[in-house]
Amino acid sequence: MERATYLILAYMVIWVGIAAYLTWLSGRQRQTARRLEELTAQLKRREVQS
Amino acid sequence: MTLPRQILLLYRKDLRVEVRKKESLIAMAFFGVLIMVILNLAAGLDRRLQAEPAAGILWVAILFSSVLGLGRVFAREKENNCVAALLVSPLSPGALFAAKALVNFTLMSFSELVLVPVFFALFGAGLQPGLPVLLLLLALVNLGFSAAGTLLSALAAGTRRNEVMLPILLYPLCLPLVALAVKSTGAAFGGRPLTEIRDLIESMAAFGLIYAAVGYLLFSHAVREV
Amino acid sequence: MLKRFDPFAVLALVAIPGAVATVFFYAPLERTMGVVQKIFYFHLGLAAAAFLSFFVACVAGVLYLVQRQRVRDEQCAAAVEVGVLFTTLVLLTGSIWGRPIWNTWWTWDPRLTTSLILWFIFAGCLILRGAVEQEEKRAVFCAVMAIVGFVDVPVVFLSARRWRSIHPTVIRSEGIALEPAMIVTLAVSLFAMLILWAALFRLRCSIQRQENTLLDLQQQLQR
Repeated sequence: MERATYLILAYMVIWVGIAAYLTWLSGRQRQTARRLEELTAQLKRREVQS
Repeated sequence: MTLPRQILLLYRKDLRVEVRKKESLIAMAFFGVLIMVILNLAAGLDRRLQAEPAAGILWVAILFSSVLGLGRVFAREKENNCVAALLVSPLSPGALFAAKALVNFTLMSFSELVLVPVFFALFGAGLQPGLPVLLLLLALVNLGFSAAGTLLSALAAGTRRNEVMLPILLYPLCLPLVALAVKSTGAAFGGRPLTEIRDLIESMAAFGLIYAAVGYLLFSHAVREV
Repeated sequence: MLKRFDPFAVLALVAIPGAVATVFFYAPLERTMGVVQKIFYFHLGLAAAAFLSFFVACVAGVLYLVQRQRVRDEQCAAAVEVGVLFTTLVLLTGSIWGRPIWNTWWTWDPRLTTSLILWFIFAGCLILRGAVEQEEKRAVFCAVMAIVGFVDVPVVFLSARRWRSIHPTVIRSEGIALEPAMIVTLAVSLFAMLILWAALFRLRCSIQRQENTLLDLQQQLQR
């Protein structure tokens, strides 16, 4: 049964790796989205002022 | 101006700078010898090396020291903003690539003039040099390494961390070349005939030609962004 | 902006569990290797997707240098990044498979060596992207590196082929000498992995696009 550990380990590596990548991506995406919203609001305010 | 004349002009300009300032060549030879001494210590002082590990030491010393020269050749142009001047001049970027690659080839060859004799003095016991084969192998590695290195040194010079980027980008690319060089040189040092390493030599030549062609094509894109 | 439901992502959400189920419940147990052999299905799928990724990066790089369109840079960047991720997973799973079967984590087999060298080259490309800030310069450099890296593949193969003839071969090519049920499983997991690759690739592209719009907006505001 010792070999099963290797199997489990391999599958964990695959899915944890992909999940980690997705988490990292979503974090990055959220950050960009937030910045984007800020800047759009800023741009709008500037247009209103001028 | 025809292409060969353009190349010659640029080549002579760079060599003249090098002859006057001597900034790369001494450093390269010095560092290469230093690496050999360090590897000699690492390999154990009292042991006689087999042909293949000895070949490995020779190539490690040559390739690690030549990256110093590669980086300088381009960084020098960038420091005084000469790249822009070169691009404005009627010289073609392809000629620029060929000239820089030739300069790197020459620098490597000159530093090898020092490194190879020192190598045989330190590790030569029991090795069969086979001078023509060794010269051929040196020429092939110089060709491949200087072609790939010239293109990548243009990329590295464009980043802010020039000295760090060049080895990071260049060595992975040259790993197959190193492997081939070590294998074939090891075989040559072991006294095996040239016919046995023919396919290795062909692969090395292929590496050199591929990167000469790719570098010639891509260099104009890379150099405009430096 | 990101679309909520990318068709590939939805498909991947179906295909991946399906493939896992096929591997565990449909595929027969290999006689000598036992359960560990089940790593192989996804390992191969990952490797194929990684190689495809580097090929896409190279093509996108060429197209970028010719057309100078932002889309191509987005694709190039996405392909390099997903390719590096997949190659990392290929190397890790291969290592984990090799430990019980070959009794070693690593051996200098041509295929292992090729994957490792490719990993180094394209990880270097990611580092290069991180080291350049100007958008156009970064795009050109990344394109050049992706092309140069992919061009290295034949030479890497040539050099590695020779190693095998000197060292004794540890790996036997499974080839098509598989049971029909295993071939079906392999096809299913390969398909699932390619779908997953496409989903990740598109996601990464859209994020890059978003970041580019952000950059544009910032420049617009500074003016």
